[in-house]
Amino acid sequence: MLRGPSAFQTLVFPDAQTREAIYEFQRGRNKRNPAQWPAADVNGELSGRTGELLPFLAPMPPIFLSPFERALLGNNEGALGQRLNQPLPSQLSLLLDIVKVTDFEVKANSPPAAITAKMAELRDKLAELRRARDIDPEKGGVLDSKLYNSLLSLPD
Amino acid sequence: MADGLEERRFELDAEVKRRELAIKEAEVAKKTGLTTAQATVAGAVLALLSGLSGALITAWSTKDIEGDKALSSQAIERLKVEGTLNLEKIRQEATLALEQKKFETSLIFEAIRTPSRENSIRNLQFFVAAGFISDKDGRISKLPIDQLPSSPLQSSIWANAQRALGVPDTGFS
Repeated sequence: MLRGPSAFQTLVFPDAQTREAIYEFQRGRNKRNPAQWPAADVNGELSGRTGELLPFLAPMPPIFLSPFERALLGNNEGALGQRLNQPLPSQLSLLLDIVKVTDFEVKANSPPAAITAKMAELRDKLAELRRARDIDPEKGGVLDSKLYNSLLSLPD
Repeated sequence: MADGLEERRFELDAEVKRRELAIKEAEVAKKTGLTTAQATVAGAVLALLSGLSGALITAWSTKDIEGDKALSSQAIERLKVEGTLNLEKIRQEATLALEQKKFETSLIFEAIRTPSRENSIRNLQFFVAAGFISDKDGRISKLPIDQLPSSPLQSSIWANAQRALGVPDTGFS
């Protein structure tokens, strides 16, 4: 985890992968609610809103496969450690609707199993769209900002 | 009759003594060239002169000693003041150097107190370029970018953020 000369062995620098993951997380928050998370806060830095939220979240839950998904779909309630731990039904419904899933509605009090099933349905659809649009098809059903922008016909 | 004789003898004795005295005076005058009165006056004058010269010498030497004393005191005072000033100057220079180091260290920590590595480097380079952080040997400016520090306090925060992002612990570069 640590590199560099001995004088800096206690100091750490984020790598490019972490930086890009922060960007993706910020893009997800911005797409979800630009009023609460302005574009100015999409900067790849662990400061401001990002610095107040990201370090205090629980580790990435397995139901999410990317920082963008977590930021876009995750629940917003509870203590920081409980936030963005599972898909928020209303957000999941919106996305299922965007990808043209017929039965897109996810009820607010849906049990975890139902949400997991809907997420699986979403991933199948996303993988299909990736292949169809040739957007990093190797990523399968993972949602990232590039695919999301394509779905909404937004520029990258 | 006897009384008359006795008186006569006294007068003669007195006369003899006067004459002896006159002879002695004449001898003395012959030796010194001075009469008794002159010798007395001369003695008095000599005594006066010697008294005066003694007084003058005493006054002069006293004045000299006092002057020396004053000069010595001044020199000592001057040395004391100069010593105090030098000490104060050294203290001030040491304090100034210490404060400068503290200021520079705080600036370095301020510069790197940002999660953005780019900003940390930019801040540090600015402080060096602007002269707020002394870098006489170019130790900071010559340091490779990947060896410049970021805040050590951020390490745990970064680790938490990585876990929250699902980023593998691939290390930092």
